[in-house]
Amino acid sequence: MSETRVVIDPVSRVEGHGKVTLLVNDAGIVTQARLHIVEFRGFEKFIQGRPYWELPMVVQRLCGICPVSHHLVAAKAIDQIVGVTALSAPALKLRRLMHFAQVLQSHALHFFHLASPDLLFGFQSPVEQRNIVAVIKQQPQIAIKGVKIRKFGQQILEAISGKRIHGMAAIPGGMNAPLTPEKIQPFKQDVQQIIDWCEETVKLSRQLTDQNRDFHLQFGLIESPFMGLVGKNGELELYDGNLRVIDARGNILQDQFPCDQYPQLIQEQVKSWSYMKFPFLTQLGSEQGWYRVGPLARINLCDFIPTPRAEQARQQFRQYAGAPAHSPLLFHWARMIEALHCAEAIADLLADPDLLSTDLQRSGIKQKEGIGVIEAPRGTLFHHYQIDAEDRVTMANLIVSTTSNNQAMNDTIRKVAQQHLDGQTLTPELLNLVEVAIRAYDPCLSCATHAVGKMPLQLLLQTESGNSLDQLTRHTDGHISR
Amino acid sequence: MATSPADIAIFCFGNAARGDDALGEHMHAFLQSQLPDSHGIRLICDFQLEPEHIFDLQGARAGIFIDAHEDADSDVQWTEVKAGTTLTISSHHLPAESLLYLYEETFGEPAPPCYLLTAAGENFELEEGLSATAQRNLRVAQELILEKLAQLELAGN
Repeated sequence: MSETRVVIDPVSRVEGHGKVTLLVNDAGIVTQARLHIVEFRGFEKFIQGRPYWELPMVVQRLCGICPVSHHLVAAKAIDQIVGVTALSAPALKLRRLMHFAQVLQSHALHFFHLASPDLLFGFQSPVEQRNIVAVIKQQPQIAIKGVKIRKFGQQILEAISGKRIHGMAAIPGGMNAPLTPEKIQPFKQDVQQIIDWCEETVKLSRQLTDQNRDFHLQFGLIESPFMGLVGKNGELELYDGNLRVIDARGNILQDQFPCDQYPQLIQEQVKSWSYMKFPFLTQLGSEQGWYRVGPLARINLCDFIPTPRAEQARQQFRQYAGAPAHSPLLFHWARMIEALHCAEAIADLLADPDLLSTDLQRSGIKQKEGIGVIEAPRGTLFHHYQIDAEDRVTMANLIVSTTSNNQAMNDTIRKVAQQHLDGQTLTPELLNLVEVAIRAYDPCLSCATHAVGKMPLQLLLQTESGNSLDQLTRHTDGHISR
Repeated sequence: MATSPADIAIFCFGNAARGDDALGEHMHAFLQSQLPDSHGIRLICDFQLEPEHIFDLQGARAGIFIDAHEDADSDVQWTEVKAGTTLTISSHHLPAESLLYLYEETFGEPAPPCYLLTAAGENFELEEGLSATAQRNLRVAQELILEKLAQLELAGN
């Protein structure tokens, strides 16, 4: 049976620029969905040949959305290269504070400005009524809280690194500089308010799910294993720890798997139609072994959260949504539980006098290889480097969170299209729902460039052999041409 | 958490790892070297415009957004920016018009007069260094921004 390609391009309100191709057969059944992401090419090549000590700085430029995650995970890998197996306590706390602030601000932006219009106004409502302006007009307190939570996280990052971007915070074996009481004080004044707002938003997430429970739990429903870091006691762990994998039923497949042995845990498959690789769990094989990472994965696979209000929220989530929860829309609720955890953890750290300590760097015997793993806002992030005798990078392997969710996003889109595509006619409603499905994963398409006029939008219809049947382009000024 | 008032808030955007997208950062470095601290200028450099930048604009007498653009027909552009009537937002790309809309809706007051200065680039791939076209346009943009700042400062006195 022949297939026709229905192409939706791009996906608005997703990081960067994406394109979706739906393959439908003669009967109009969606057999495959392909989310095309073109901007990951060249990362490893960009890094190779550089001196290793530059990496924590250089990798910040790979992604304009989560530069801090790349900065910290590269620093973790470089710690190993300089032979440091344990940071000083003050350096570790500063890095953790940075990381919590990064995850908090990223989650806040996504929930309040990208996801909340869908959640508040309904997934079927017109696009022009389903955006952040409508949120501001109808729920102004939600919009302003979102901006302020994000600003709070950004200001912590700026305080630690000294600059908004390209700051020098983590260095090989430690941190560059401590905080000062003057820098910490404003955050101490605000953090309780931030915690309260995050907790209110967790409750709002549940309320919004409950208002349309069947839709939320069935929309694009797929089942998969989950992977993420946990601490040594099985707790939610965003900065350090070892890997845990659970299957779709919640059974633990791997636990306390050492991060530096990740090549034995996962492999990467290449497909001809995508620049982005398709990782899979070695023990389950390429067909069955794809998995999910990110907030939903982390909430599903941890045994507890080590801050009280977030832990209470996790328990309520599991009671409501099951364990493990699989619906992609539950990523939003899980995301805000993590935001609450980050806010609580930030409050704890701000009270710690170690943030003022100058005992910030360790040294060791240089190694030729380093592997850093961290839980970035969107999921597990791997940086793997090898260097030569001249201290230059000879091998770099980066597995970003969005890559790990690649197959899951494709399958979710396929499921949504199967549920909502009528024949071979694209409708604005279907486009909305495909976007909603992708947005749940908060993918970072990572073009990290935004120059004016750089992002025209296209909608294409093609046959399997590549013949174009139709094409729409939405330009940056909003007008659409055929 | 509001920032301290400034006479003129200047937002420079770009990613130095993305070829000519670095134009904004180059303009930021230029302005840092040209403008003394006491000049009443608030200089912001970031990867892209984000919602929280409304706080940086709050209290300013004027705002200037500096970015690269991809338009072979126009080397350097200086245009006034008005608050949009629709909002385009992603955490990757928030147009200046949308930021001003967000400002006005959030604070319930008109945004200050704002301007967009863009310089044309031709290469936005993952590599460092400006193209010859971007270098030429950078020099033009540097001269233009100083001229415009002088006009804005005179208008404010």
